[in-house]
Amino acid sequence: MAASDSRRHVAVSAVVIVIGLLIASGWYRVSTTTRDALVVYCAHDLLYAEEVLRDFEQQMGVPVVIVPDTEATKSLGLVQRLIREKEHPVCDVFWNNQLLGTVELAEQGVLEPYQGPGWQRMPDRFREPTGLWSGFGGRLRVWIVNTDKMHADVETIDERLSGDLSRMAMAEPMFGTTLSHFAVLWQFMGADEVQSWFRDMRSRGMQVVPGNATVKDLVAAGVCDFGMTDTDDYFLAQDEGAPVAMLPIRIDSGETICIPNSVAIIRGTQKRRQAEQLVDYLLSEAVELRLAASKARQIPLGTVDESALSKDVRRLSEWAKESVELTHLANVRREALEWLTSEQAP
Amino acid sequence: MTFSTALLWSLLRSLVIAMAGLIVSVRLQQSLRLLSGQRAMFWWGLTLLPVFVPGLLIGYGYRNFALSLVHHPMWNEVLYALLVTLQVIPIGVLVLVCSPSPPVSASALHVRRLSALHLSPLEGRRTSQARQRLVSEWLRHHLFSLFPAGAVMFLLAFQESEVATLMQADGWTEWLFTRYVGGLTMATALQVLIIPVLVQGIVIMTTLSLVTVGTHQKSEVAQLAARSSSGDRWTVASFVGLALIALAGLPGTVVLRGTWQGFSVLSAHPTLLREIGIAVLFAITSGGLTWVLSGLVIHRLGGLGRMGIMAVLLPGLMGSLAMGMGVTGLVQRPPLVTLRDTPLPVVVAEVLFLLPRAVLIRLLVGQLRDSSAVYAARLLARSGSPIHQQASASLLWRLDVAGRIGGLLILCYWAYIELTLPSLLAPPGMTPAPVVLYNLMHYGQISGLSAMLFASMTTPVVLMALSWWGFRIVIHRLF
Repeated sequence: MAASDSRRHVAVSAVVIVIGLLIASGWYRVSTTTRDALVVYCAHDLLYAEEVLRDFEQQMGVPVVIVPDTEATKSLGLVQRLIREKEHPVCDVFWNNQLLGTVELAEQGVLEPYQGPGWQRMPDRFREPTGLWSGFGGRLRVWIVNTDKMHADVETIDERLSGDLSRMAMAEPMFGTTLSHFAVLWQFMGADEVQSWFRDMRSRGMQVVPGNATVKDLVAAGVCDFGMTDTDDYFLAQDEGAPVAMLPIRIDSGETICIPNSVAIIRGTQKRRQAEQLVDYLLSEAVELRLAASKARQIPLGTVDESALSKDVRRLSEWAKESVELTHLANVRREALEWLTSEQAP
Repeated sequence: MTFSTALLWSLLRSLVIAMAGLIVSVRLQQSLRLLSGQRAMFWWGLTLLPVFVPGLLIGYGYRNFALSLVHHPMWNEVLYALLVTLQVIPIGVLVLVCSPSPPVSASALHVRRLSALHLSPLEGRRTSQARQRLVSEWLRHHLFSLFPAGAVMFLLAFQESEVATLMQADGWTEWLFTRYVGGLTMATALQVLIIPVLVQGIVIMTTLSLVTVGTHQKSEVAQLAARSSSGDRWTVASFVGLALIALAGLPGTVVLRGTWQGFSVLSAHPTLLREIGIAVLFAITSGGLTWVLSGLVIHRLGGLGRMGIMAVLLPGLMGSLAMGMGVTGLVQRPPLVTLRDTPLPVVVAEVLFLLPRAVLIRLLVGQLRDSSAVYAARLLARSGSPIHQQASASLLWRLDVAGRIGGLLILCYWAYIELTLPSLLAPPGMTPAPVVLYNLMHYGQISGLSAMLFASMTTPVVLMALSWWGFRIVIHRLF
């Protein structure tokens, strides 16, 4: 009987050891693949970015680990995380879905310059002169309008903007492309004017929601009549058959707001060669065309074969040519962000 | 909304949820106590099911409906509060069952009531003293019996953040998490945390004091209930029906409908498999360690004393956000910064977070375990007869092992669906599937995301079923 008990203990121990070994080997496998991989912080929508980065992995044989931003803080979360990690960098390449956060990182000394072939094919207004970052694949800020609820023209929008705004939606301006939009307004209207404009809009019932996709959902469903969003979100609603139309948002000078993606190498990376390969890949004509052909219809910023672009993207490209210069707005963005943060201070 | 407003709002909402939850859970507990045998197991199982519905699924399922209420934010708050109430009630029922009896028993209270009633009005001073004593003991009795359950429900509602974020319900957790990942410094975040931590600390300390003062006899509430309740099974069935439809049925329908249309998306995202694998690794590691550690805590319960118990359980009782931020603060500075790129911070945080739940599960399993029956089954295993040995294995599984394996698997499941801790602490390349899906949820209810959610949420259920089956076979082979 004692022998039987002892056999049971041995068998139980063996089961526990086997399970332990399986867990240990699992962790070992995860750790080694992560250690060898290029770490990419990616604020761009994962549904589009992941396919591009996986193709890069396959073509170049460089494993990639993607760290996305949180749902609530599109792009700002990763920018802040990179600043926090400046002394002990984890990330190798930052793919931002907008520009001003990347400019901020450049000013904080978080980035390393690289003037590769991708950087060279971009126009000056969409790249940093020393190669600290480069823009690619832009999106426009647009009015999304539910055509069952109102006419999609400038006059109707202006009329609605002067009255009750409870059926208008805007994303939380502390985050993502809406922060860039806010910075543009801050620059051209002045701090006092923007602050009172925003407070006035809120007091008239404007719905401030967590993100541009939420703005799109609200307008597409007819819960709100119109709102401010990005072109990629607008096209998702259009492709789903929602009764929507769009108009480019223009500032007082008549310029549009085109917000490019941006890519940069993080200072202190131990995988410089692979990081350069990824930057060149993302800034290539092929990737710009791919992003343009995606559901997001992103606007190529470098020179591409125009005949390969859809009608939608060609229309967006025309509007993008009228866009405001963003690269010098880093300080303004910082001021705007400080004010927005103070508005919600503990 | 400022932090102070968000905090006040959370406090108020949590109080309402705790009070409403308490009323329902006392009634439910009374009804459940009257059931026995297989029927009792069945209804207990169904009553506890809402606890296991992931916040991610609830939030995703109600996201679009919550959006449609943008012009009626109060209705959205009511809906959110209702969903949270339905989810915390089963925990309230469990705490009522596990709570020690109050020092003033129901019979003592009854005797006191009788003696107060039978005093002559002529004995004015004595009557007034007796009534005062009756009121004071009535309060003590109910404080000891009900406060722990109400406090736990309050804490759970106060700490909830996942459903709140996806449904855009206001609250301090959502405020702090969003601002912290958005750039709030760790120092400011920790300062902001002081008040919620204090609030929770007071509630936890009071509860633990009451629990450790109470007697460890069979629950008085239950005994009373068994006599006073008519055992209305409809109460249990109504709660189960409402909770399961609201928490699992409606969100599940949204997910299944999308899954049917978007299953092809899974092939375009092969990394989901890796992310599910990482979630499973975190779940087994954290769940297993928590189970072992909770065993040690239970065995040392007497030796640890009140302060010891509080020290061990306090971090987890503070909720995932408060504790996760504390651990994040620690691993951001030397010498612990070297651990930042390892899975260790997530595992440690998850173990601390799950520990109070593990202790509760172990107490419950202990209450259900009949030691003399287990001993008899073990003796039967020593018989030379193979038929006896087979019967012994089957009995041991039912009487002893099944409860422990069930407890372990439940902890692993909770570790799998945990969202806040890995969001704050997971190193690059080790992001578990639920966190990845949460980050994709700003797309709204799209078919591809539904399919991914379906794959991620069915995996632990399938693995738990397989493990249960596997352990059962092993036990039957061994004994």
